[in-house]
Amino acid sequence: MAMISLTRIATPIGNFFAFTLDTFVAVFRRPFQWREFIQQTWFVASVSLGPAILLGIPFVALVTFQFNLILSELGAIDLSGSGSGLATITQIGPVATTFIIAGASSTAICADIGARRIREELDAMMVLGIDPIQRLVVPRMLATALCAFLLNGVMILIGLTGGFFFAVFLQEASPGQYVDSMKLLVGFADLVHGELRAVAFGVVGALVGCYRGMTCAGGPRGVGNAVNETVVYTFLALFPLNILLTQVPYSLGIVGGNH
Amino acid sequence: MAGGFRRGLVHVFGVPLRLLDDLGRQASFYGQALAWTPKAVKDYKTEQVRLIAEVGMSTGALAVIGGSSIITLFITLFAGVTGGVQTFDALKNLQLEALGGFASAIITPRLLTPIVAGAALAATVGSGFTAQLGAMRVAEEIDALEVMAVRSLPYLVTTRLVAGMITIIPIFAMAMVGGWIGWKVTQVNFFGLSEGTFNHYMNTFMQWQDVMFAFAQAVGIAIVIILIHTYYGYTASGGPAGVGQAVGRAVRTSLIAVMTIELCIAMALYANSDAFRISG
Repeated sequence: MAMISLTRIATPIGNFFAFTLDTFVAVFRRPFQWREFIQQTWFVASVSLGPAILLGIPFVALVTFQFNLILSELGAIDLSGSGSGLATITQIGPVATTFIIAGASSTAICADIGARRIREELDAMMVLGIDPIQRLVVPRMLATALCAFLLNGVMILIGLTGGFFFAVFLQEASPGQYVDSMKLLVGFADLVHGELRAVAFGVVGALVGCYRGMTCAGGPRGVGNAVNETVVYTFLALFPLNILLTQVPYSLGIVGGNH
Repeated sequence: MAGGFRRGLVHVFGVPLRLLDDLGRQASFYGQALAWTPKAVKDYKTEQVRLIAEVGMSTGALAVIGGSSIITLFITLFAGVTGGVQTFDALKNLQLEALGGFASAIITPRLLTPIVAGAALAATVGSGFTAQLGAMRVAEEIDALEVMAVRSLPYLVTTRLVAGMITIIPIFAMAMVGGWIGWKVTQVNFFGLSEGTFNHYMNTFMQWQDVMFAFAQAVGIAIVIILIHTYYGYTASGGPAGVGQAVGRAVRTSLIAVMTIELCIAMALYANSDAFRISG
């Protein structure tokens, strides 16, 4: 019994890694699908940007609000810029990007690929000798990575400006102090660190979405369950990945500790 | 020419109106779903119990990896580790790493658990409901219920709402413990912070009020997630592909709604609270 459930967990994971390997090999195969890449970048951006802005504002306001409560209790509200800068660039940007990648981008990718799968378009492609991984998965993966990079930038922008408005207009911090203290705890290395993590999240999110879409079962329940599992698996993959990618550069001394 | 112009005009001005239309339909759906609560609790007890088990344990492939409660615990545990890593580094820059327990006591109930567990629940419980109800709608099972004179709204939607509100409290409690454990293990066992120091600052600044407020947020989150997700599932159309799109749309909407509702509840509860005292 335990054996059966172990295989039920292990088999999809193994298949996913095989799929990932296939995709990375296919990245270097020519011709590269530029048209699909540009269309998919547009598609991912169009499903993600609206939710990113709408999710980013309350997310940032929530964190800034709580942080400022502590600071104003200490009489150090003028330091709110440093907290805002640290929280936004190191964690809120990448984590909010995770939410958007899992909730918006990879679900849309999975619904799209899943619909193609149950309409047997993927089988038709393979019959015609076209590799769906090279044709569909590679452009989607790169497009999502690009969008994640840009979305993280949008998130940081929303974070810093939202934090500014929240701190200055609602919680009475001084605007000059806010801007001045922003650079106290974070630097350029942290920004690059955050952006690189966002790119990794985009790659993983797109791969999970494509994999689950390509393996979805038929019938109305099939695609729905596939999209549901895509969100869950993306969250499950991205949080541990976030720790790994946060901690390793700190341990190596690439970021942090130099301020 | 004039006809085309008029059609264009109708299209342009139609967009906000259609949006308003959709909002109105959602509002009436939510109102009805809430209004049916007494009937759903009284008449559909068996279904209710089945759904409570299902919310906690999930079905299908997700049940194999532990169901929504274990998935949420796992995610907040890792979020706690991330918080531990990040705050330890930031506090070390200020030579204040002893305050790790203080950061954990404040951040875990106030930010980490509501945000992360809210998103995890939207992903597991919520989108599972959209997939189920969407499949039922597309396979005309909901119409079949109506034909058999079973009111589908209380039977399918309100029962799920009640089940979610009951189940969220233990799931949320597990998630919060997961966040604390992740945080403490990271700072004490990995980074070598003294356990006594961690516990001292954690116990000093931990307030039961914060935990209670987090549960108030949890109930708000549960209501919002389940209403949004059941709405998109209940009104799904366009065959199997349409169900997939409905799940995606529901997740996008509910993540935004969860953050907004949390901000509103947090501002309402914390804004004038003076329970947080450092300076006396």
